[in-house]
Amino acid sequence: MKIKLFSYNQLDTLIHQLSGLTKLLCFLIMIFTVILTYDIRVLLFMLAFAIVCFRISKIPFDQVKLIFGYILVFLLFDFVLSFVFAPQYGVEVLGTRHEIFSFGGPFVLTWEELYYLSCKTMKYLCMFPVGFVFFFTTNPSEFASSLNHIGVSAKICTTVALTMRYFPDVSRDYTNISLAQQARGIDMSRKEKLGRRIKNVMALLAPLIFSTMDRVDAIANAMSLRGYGKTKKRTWYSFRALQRNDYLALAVCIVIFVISLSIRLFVTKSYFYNPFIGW
Amino acid sequence: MSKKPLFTTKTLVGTGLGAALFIVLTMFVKVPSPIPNTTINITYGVEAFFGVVFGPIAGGLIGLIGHTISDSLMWGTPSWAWVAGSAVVGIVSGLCYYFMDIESGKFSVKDAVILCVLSVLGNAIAWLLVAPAGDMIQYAQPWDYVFAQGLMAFGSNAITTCVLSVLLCFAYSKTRVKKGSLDIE
Repeated sequence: MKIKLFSYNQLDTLIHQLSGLTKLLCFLIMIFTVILTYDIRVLLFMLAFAIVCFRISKIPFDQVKLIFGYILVFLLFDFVLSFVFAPQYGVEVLGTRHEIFSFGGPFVLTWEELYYLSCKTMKYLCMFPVGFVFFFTTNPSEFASSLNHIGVSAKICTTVALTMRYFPDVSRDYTNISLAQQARGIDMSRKEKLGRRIKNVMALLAPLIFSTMDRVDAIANAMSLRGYGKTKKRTWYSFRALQRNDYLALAVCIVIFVISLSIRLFVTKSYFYNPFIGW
Repeated sequence: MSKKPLFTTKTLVGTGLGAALFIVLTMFVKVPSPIPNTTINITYGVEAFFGVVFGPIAGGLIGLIGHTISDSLMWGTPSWAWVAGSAVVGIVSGLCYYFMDIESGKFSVKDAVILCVLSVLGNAIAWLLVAPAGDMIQYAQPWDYVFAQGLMAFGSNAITTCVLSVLLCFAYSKTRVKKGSLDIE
């Protein structure tokens, strides 16, 4: 149960040096680029770009190996299930049909379906390195201040900061309560009957939630006593002003976004790029 | 319906800690369900309970922040459609805040019924409409496929939300001091 929040550690790479605001904006632009396209050329480029960023940020692969394994299993599962649920969906969205072979019944494998499914997998795949880079290289305190600078209300940013600050405390509380209840013989595993299991869940949840509620009172009173929330605006200790590299990074992301969008709007003129027309 | 403050410092802190609790429960607590190899997600019951105590904005934000961070920690990137679903569950079950007064120790059977109705409604909107629609838009997936996933989530989440949030509300109301509980002797 040892877990470090975002496993953030301070390194001296090009990406770590960027301001949190830049990284948040780039992260959002990248997400929108990927959401708005279903073009395999753009997706391949995005995947390559994301992997390059991942390499630059020097995140050790060991740290994400386990998650990466889960993701691959999930993607494989999704690939197969999507085919079983709607084997002709690719044909439907692309409008052409080139069969490879038939499994019998409606399960005819087409090039279009294969292409559609690979695009979808690619879409998932290029989100992951981008997310890793963002969450592993951003200081949690700076994250809250960046949110405020893109226009999220200061109160909500404080909430986010509080969540990240108190996550380790709450998880320590949970471990203690869980161990204490186990020592008293309270079992939540399959060995107990379902009704009993739910009762045991309550025996764990009740002290956890009531201790959290007490803590809410204590923190809220402390904040009120220090005059929190008297004014609408606040300043941030951990905010870093934008520098030359920040503007460069933003420019790169915006250029990628604009190119991808203009390919969709002016070149392919549709959400899907169909390489099978004219086969 | 009583007039209540919408977002005080206490609401803010409750939201922050509620979201932290959301993350801890999602990541660590695995209760096996009757169906083999699946686990019951008890998170939404707690989210609905915080909604009752702190209101719809707090409930929605707990879902939004908690789900985004827990997804990022577990998967590296949030699945936005399901994050939106979590937020909807919190907002809709948080509407109970306006119908009941749990802070002064009152939580009747009628309140429990309202809470159940609203949390089933919230779960239905979230997992049968918002999450599948979001997934369909984001990844252009067939509706049947995303709807089947949503239906499974709805089945298990609606039941756990109802059972756990009602149990928690009864337990919590008993710890509050009732208004006028002192008698003149």
